[in-house]
Amino acid sequence: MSHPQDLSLREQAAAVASGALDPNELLDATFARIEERDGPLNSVVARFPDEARTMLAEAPPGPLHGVPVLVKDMFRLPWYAPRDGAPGEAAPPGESAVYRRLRDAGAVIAGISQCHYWGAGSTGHVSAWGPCGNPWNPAHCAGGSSGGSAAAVGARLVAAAVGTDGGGSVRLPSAYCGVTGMKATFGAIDTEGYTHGYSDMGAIGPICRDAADARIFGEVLTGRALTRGDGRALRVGVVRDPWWTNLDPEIETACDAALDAAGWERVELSLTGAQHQQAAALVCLTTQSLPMLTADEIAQAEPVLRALIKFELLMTPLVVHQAERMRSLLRREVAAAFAQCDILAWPTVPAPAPAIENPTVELPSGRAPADPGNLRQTGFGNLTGIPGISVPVGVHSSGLPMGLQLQGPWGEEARLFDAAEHLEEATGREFVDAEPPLTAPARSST
Amino acid sequence: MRVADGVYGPQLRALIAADLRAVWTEPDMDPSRAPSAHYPAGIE
Repeated sequence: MSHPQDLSLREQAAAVASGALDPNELLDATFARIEERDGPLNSVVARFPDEARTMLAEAPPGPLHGVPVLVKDMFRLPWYAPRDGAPGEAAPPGESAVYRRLRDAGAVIAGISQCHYWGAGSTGHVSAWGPCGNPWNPAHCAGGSSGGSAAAVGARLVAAAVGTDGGGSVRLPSAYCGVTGMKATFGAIDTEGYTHGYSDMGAIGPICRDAADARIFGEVLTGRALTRGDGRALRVGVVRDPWWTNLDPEIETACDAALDAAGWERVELSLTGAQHQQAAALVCLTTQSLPMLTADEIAQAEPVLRALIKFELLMTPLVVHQAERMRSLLRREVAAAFAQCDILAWPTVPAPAPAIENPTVELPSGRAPADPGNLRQTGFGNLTGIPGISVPVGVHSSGLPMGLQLQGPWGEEARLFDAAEHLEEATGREFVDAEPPLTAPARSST
Repeated sequence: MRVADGVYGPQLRALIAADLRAVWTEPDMDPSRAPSAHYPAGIE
């Protein structure tokens, strides 16, 4: 058998269930794989060999019996106080709803995955844990804020990791790292014990190597069946402005080619107010998060983040109210759009993962920080509450992955998994099965 | 702060300037579901 962490999540679960794979050996191999590969990545920031063995010993039968997974640094565990990527504890140890879902499914929590400082960034290069490297090139960002989860899955340290997404934080790192990540509909996964559970922008989601694994993991996290359907005959809505503008040309071409390969009927749409969606998302995200921070915490924050917070503190009541109105407008607009199409599609990120040393991206409009362009592509899903999934659709000439985002109506996670699985098949699984250089035999033997 | 304003300021000022008088907020806004049909979108 190949290394057990080269198996998919469903293969691991099936092998353990059939007795072909000893879950203790799987756990040992997982920690060995983390030890072997995570040095340049820094994706797993806390390891739980003792607690994982206890979970395994007590694991009930379930869909993930004996399968190791990672959890982002934003969830309470009985033995772990989440830090949100910051120096202090954001919440005391305890049972989060995600912990209970995983435990009851028989899964084993092997460790904590790295998180951007307070979850407030899309690059993952700022964190009390240190920056997180991309498995396709460790000198580049894994993304954020669930960068550790995406990098660990991409590097085949684990087959599944939990992420959270307040402005794109599951989908963005998934695109950067060439994995499949879904932001579920707001509230579809219980936020109890999630450090940003106060926000109506934040949602939880699975990060896996492909859509079939993400569906299984999504079923565990949501606690409901996400039954497989037919993703072939869908109508895909394409909203050019703003989401197909100012993109890296290779990303635009790859996403367009993926839609061609899928063969879906394209419906060109426009959404009134879409030009203001990024600002509205920023305001909603910010105004919900700022009251959670103390003056001391702000004073001790990383300098760039501190400057951004000081800017955000100057937001006026007028802009907050305008953002609320814009949110309502866009929710109505997207609800109307779904009468004309089954899913929406646009690139997950405008450019591939930037370098950790200089987290800016080259766009047709010029070189710019990565965060604003990323929020532009993903904040809409948080603002409206709809689910979205990022699917790998190519490898850029820089050697870094590219992702296409599919979004569906509220509660239609299963439709997105159907669409993603169809897209994988239509592209011959070329990109979803692509392995980063970190995992190639030539690299691992050196 | 000046850098942050350079990045986000124009969008925020555009949002402030947008004419949204005809748009009503959702009094029962719940991002877990589609907007309620009980409330009008606004005055047309």
